[in-house]
Amino acid sequence: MFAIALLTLKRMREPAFFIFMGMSLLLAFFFAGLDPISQQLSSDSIFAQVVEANRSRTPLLSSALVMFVISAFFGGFLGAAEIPRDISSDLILILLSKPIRKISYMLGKYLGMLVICLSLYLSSLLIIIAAHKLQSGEFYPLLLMLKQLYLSLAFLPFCGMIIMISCFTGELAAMVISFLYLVFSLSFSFLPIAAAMLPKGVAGYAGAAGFVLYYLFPNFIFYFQDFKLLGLVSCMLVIYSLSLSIIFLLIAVGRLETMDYSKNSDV
Amino acid sequence: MKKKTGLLLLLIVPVFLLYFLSEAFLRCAAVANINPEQVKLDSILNELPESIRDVVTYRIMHTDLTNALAKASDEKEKLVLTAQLGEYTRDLKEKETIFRFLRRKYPDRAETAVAYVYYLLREDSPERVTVAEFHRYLLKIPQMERFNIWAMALNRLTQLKVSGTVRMEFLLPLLEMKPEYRDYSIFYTELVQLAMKYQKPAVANRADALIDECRLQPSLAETELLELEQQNQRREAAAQKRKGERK
Repeated sequence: MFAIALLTLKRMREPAFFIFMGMSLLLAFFFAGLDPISQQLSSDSIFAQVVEANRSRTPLLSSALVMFVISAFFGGFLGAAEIPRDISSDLILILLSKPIRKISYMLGKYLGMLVICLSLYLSSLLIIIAAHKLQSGEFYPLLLMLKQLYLSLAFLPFCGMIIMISCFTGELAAMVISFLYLVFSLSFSFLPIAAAMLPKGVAGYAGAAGFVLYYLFPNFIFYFQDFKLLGLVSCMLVIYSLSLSIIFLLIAVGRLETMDYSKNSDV
Repeated sequence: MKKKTGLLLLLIVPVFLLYFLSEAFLRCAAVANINPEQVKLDSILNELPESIRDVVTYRIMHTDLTNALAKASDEKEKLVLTAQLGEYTRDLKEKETIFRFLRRKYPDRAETAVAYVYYLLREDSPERVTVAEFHRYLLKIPQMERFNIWAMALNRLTQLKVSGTVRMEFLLPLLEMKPEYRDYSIFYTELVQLAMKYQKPAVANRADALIDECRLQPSLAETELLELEQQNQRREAAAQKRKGERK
């Protein structure tokens, strides 16, 4: 599993990764001065209230959110092509002929992609913290920095989602579908919150249908909400991230187990 | 293989349980962050996916109307809300039930106009209202409310794409009434145009004369404003009288 992860991490030596990393760090430096998200939204917006409910004194930084999105985009771009490329180049047949199980192969790819995404995000965070120190002469409080780290949890289901999609499609299609899936996820994330605010019985069948669709997507809003750093919500967030990742990975394993690799080969 | 499937099932079930449990918890936590008093209905609707926004908006409006109808105490308010619900609902069965009820129970009221307009020349319905029936209903309504009903009925005829002669025939009763409001001139103007088109000079001349008569009358808006002012004055006078009596 780790050998496969290291194989994926070799991409970190490719020029594409350095370009993405450079761009991320540059963008992190420019976005470092942004106000917290809650201050950039209208106070009557649902999102603003979810993000800042005065439960903790550690707001989510806009710069961290922007860098999370950018890191997810770049990481997804690099990771989505991994499995389809192995399949089309028949590398997967060579790898699986070794004493490596399909689940280990897939977990290795997952770990590799997770490390790529995290390295992009964490290095961006370091730049944001350093830029703040340069601009204001002081470091962010420790708790505030920890709060930004919680966003890293969102990479767990995100990478699982990309790996799952890439098991079903080709390189380019995996990138496009992952992007569309992410857009739908964000769109449906507001559904349960909005439905809870509506008068009882208003949503009716449409609400039920909406909820069925809602469960097909991960809810990334949970990672942006305001909560105490060490409490039940943070525990649940860890459980949510892990369980969702396992679901995605199980679907991916199921696909790898039933796949006919010879049909997808370019050779 | 069976062992593998068993293991997989053993893993899937608790994973799904944990997923639903944590999702429900996080959802509650997110909802608890929101102060319902600060949230406007528009902002909720704007954040819903477009595909269900329309359905939810409709359900909210429908529920509001139904609740208001249940709370309404006086007959006029009930009648107005029933007519609004009948017009708003997308459920054809509910619409027809409401409209049939309105026509049977309140055949002479202006609020029932939506039901008459709905059934006007509706070929596929046994409740169909003919032009003559519609005229009979119209003449029972005071001129002030009658204006809007004429306009609604003309809209319906436009939707039905009826011929110019049917439209002209529909407007003919206007020639037999003395207009009390300036706004009626638009109907007479249309009547003049149609009469000229279908070479009915007598109709055109009579409608033209009535347009002149309309110009001497107050507009509906002016009359409504005047009535509102008079009501306010009466209310103020009554309040002052009560104050005087107390002193």
